[in-house]
Amino acid sequence: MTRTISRRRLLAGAAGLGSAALLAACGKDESGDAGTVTLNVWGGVPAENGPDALFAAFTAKHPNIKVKYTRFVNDDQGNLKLDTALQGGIDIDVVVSYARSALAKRVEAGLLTDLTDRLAGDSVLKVFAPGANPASNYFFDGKAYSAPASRSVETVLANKSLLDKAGVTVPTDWTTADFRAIAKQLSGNGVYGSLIPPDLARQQLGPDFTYKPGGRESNFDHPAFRENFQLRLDMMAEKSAVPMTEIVAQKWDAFAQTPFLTGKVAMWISQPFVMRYIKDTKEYPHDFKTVLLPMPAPQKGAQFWNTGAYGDNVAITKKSKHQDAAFTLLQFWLGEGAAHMVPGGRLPSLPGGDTAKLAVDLGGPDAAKLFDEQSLVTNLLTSDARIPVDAIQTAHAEISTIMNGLNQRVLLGNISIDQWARTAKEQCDAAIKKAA
Amino acid sequence: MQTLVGSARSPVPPVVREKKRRPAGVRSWLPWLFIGPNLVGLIAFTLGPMLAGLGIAFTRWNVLSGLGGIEWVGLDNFAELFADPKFWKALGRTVFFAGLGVPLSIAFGLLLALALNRPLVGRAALRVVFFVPSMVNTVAIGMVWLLVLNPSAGLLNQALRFLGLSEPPTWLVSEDWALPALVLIQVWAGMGYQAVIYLAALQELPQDLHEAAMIDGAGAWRRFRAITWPSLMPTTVFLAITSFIGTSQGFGLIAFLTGGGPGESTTVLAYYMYQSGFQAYKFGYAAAIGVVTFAAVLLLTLLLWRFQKGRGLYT
Repeated sequence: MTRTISRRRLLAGAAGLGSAALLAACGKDESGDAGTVTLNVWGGVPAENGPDALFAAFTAKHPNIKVKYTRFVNDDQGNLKLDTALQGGIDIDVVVSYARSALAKRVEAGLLTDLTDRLAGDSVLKVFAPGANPASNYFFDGKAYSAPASRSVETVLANKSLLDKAGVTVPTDWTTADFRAIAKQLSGNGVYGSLIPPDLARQQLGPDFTYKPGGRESNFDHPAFRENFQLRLDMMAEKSAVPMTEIVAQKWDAFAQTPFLTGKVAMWISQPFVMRYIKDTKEYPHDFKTVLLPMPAPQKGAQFWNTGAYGDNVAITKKSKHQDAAFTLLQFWLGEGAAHMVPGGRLPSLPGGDTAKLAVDLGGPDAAKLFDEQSLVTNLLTSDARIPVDAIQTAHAEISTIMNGLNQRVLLGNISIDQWARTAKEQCDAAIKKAA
Repeated sequence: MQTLVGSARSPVPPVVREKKRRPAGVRSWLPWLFIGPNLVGLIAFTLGPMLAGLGIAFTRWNVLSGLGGIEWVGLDNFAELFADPKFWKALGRTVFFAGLGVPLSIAFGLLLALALNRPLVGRAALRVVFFVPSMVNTVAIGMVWLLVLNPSAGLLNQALRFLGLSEPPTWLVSEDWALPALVLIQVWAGMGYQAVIYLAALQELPQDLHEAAMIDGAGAWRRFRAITWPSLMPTTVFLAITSFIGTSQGFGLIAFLTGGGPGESTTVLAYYMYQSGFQAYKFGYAAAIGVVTFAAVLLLTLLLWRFQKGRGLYT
């Protein structure tokens, strides 16, 4: 006897299955402000480098709010995965954006909650609300959609053994010219004095340095950019900075810690998140101490901007059913919970932390062996460096793409600085015009 | 089981007992049961996305805005594409990459196959050795070639310096040499596969033609030109078509080794499509690049198909 399935029966079965799935999905929802809430958080930091400890401490303080953390890799594919998940209806309550362009895309697509009023009304977080001075957050049409969880001051990380061997003492108020002279002195015998020199354009022009005032035109014809490239080309030519061919061939642009921790580069300008590589002596065994030096000034005694950034922008998704719980987490993350992210190299964005504790947490148990501890405190943790925060967002992603290609070409010697300036201005102006 | 009934003493026609047949309903859907899983996969993961891609090419769509954000723009993406100098440059690089890489890998594959078709000591092992790159992961191939092509410490440049070339090319970090270097890697990675296919074809060739030609006094080159090459024409066309399709989609090696650079010197169409879609989130524009690439490959396939007609020995 054969049994056939009628179309009606098939449809009924499918409908039944669908209903069952729907009910099951509803059953999973742990929402309800009276009961326990589970927040889904997506971030790019590996769970063991801070998030696990942060969320454990948060749940200990707020037992009715649990956190499920999903790590995404902070590259193009990882961000796309996050964005499609955000758009595709996957429950995500809190999301961390690392690049300004990624944050801008999420804001423009209307995926994030406007936090302006909540931040302005918070006695601590009001420093991240529009109008705060100095600005330390990104705003879009005058509104805040996120708050930064980290403040990353750039410093010059130097190999203390190489400095001592060359008998170099770095003055505290050093200049770019000093940096170059010292880099030259440290170069030789398979060692480059520096990976790259400071970014003179950013240091001198500060916030929105790639735009002319008003943001309707790009700024690549400014002499500071020419000065910046000339310095780097000169230093590459005299081998006091790593030639671009070497950086590209060795992929040191993506893995800059490798040449520094293998002793091939004596000075490396970077942010505190790289501390985790220095402390990972299993992966990067090395027998020298790292000393942190302040950024050199472009000219003696001149005011300048640090090339670091406020980052790890924590935002709440518009679709989140737990807006209050998510903001409670954001308050904890940026406030008392920030200490849990320090061992992973993310320093708090809010001022006023316990410096001694921060030094212990950041340096880790082997700090005395790995770092010049005094420099860690003086030049990083108590640094009063001015960090620029960009306010203009027009065609930012397009400009980044254009400039990545052009910068590489000028540094590889394929085009002159004049050609670079002309092309950059032309192409970026066109991108701004199109976006505007 | 089918049984014959009957004997010489009873000359009645044998009766064939009919095989028990399945009901007509079962007979009609049983084949679908077998091909069903594959068909579902084909529709879901190949045909569906292809048709969706075709549709998306006529829209402006930022994936972040969801399905509700899809905006029909007609031929706007194609108009923008044909006015985009980056597209034409990427197309030129794709033509160079495929136009040089495919014939070279086929030529080297054929030479390799002819060599491996001769009685050699360790022939079986050599066949495996040459086929290995076809089975190796793209990233592993890339890692090996990064070491070989390193401008200062790479094996190739050390060899060139040893031979007296004081300023050898900087390969993957040179705007002029990066694309030729990728062609070199592509040829190396692909010729083993080509050789295996050619070997199979060579072993199918009728030997009597060769023997007859030898009796007539034809030399090796003449026999190759008049017998072997025309006989291999269908194989060559098959390899050319599949290689052009594969090369036009070439992405992995470029993404890993050069990221489309230095500058834009290795940004071929497939990589430009990736940049447009997954970096700039211009999915309509990226789909338009995909449609144009598909049309170009289809046209090339038809031309190759037409070219082989009447040229092969067995066509």
